[in-house]
Amino acid sequence: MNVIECKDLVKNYGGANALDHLSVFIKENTITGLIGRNGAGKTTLLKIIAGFWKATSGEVKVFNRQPFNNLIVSANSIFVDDMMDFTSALTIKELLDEAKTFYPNWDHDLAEGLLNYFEFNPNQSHQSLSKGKKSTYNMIIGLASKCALTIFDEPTTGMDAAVRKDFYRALLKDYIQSPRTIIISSHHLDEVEDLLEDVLLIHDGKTLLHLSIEELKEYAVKISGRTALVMQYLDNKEVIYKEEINSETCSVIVRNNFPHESVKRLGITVSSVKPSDLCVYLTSQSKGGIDDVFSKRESV
Amino acid sequence: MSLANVNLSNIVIKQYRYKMKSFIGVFLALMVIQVFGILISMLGASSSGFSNGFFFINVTSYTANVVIAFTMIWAFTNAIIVTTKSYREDDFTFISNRLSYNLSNILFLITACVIGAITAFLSRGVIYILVFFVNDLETFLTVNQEVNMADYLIGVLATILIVLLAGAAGYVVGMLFQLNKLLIFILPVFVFGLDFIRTSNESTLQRIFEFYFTEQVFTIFVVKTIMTILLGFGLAALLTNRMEVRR
Repeated sequence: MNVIECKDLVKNYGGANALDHLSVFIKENTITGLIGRNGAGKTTLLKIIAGFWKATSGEVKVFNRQPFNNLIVSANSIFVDDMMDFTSALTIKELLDEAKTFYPNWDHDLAEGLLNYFEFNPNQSHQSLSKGKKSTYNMIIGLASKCALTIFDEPTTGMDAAVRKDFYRALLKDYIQSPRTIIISSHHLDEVEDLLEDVLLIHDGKTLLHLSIEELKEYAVKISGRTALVMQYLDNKEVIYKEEINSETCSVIVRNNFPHESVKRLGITVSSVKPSDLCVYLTSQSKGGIDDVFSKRESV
Repeated sequence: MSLANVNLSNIVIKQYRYKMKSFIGVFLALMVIQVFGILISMLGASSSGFSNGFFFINVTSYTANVVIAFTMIWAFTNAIIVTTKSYREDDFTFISNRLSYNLSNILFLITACVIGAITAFLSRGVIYILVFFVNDLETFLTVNQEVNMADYLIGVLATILIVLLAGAAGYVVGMLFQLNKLLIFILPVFVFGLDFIRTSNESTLQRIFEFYFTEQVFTIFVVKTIMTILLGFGLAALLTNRMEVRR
């Protein structure tokens, strides 16, 4: 069953299309990583799914319902980011009690256990927490609410490395205990890679790829060798990214849809591409790399 | 995981209870403003003196009108504050849609206004007692013969309604501001502009005030104010039903 169905979703935001005819289906009980560059439309997509924003056109269904203004969708989903607002009149401990009254599946033991583990002072207000602590606290709310759809938008903002590791571990353990549909948006695919089942890569408001993590690992390979040889071989290949090219040697990222043996025999090396690197290659602008900006300046 | 079922009234009540805890500042502001109103009221609302050559009589009357007026201003401004972004975001952190958000706000405002109006109404007694002890008066007259319980109830109800009227007005104005920030400048111009539009020798603004506050028949006053309050709250809920949150 699909928990989320988006068809031809368009969202006009500030005069530009933040989402540009995006379509995506997300299955029940999966952990999906939403990956994309800054401004790719990750947050926009998630806020439309959560029912906070309204799509300009297109169709969005969450649990088979339009999420905007839908109380059932709101009750069964939670959106966690670093901008979550809590009243300053209550302490973070009291806020957990409030959340408990709202969410039907709330796991209070888990919430209190995590609050304890991350060494929160229960009498603090949410406003007085540091940036990383706020993110950690929001994550606790997100996990303990046990909503059928749990959305984490850049959840690790401000967290230190140790807390980040704990967070991913807590998320995985909790997911195994009570499977549900989880979406995590992040720029750092390598950090969440081990956690994810599916990867949804979006770019310029469109779906670029939606694959399982295994498929993504096999999606492309890097071929490198003498330039003359490799270039000749590229003719009928789907080139994703040209990494280094000079007169001597070069390495190119291509779709992995050919037998490797024949290539290796020519003296070209074929190596795998890390999913996180692949996502960078796939979403890189055709303006060359950051190095070009500097090399142009030097030549002037 | 099966979907949890919720109903609107259940969520509205939860949000309302959450608001009663988190908007505690609203009641603190009420206390401050009413204490201030009571102190000003002790100066006397009107005073007149006359003399026949032997005696000089100075009559000062004391009322709670200033406290009630202050409470109206409090209701108006607090209703605006409730509509602001930071208060709105609090709701949409947990379960909410725009209807439950508006309904719980309205319930909260009604509660706050009823409390504010009753305390404002009762402040008259406090003013009398304070004046009696603090001021050096020779004769202290109160009207207590012809005022019966029903009159008091009418007084309380009328106070509640006018405070609520101010609250509803603030809620509509606040929501309009949320829809378009330009209205923060346009709306005051429009309201004060009404003061210049005259069909007879009274301005339109004056006539709007008279429509509510000079009504002689109590039941008509009740109908007028309740209709206006319902209309205001309904309008605000309707206007914000498409509003995007957590921007």
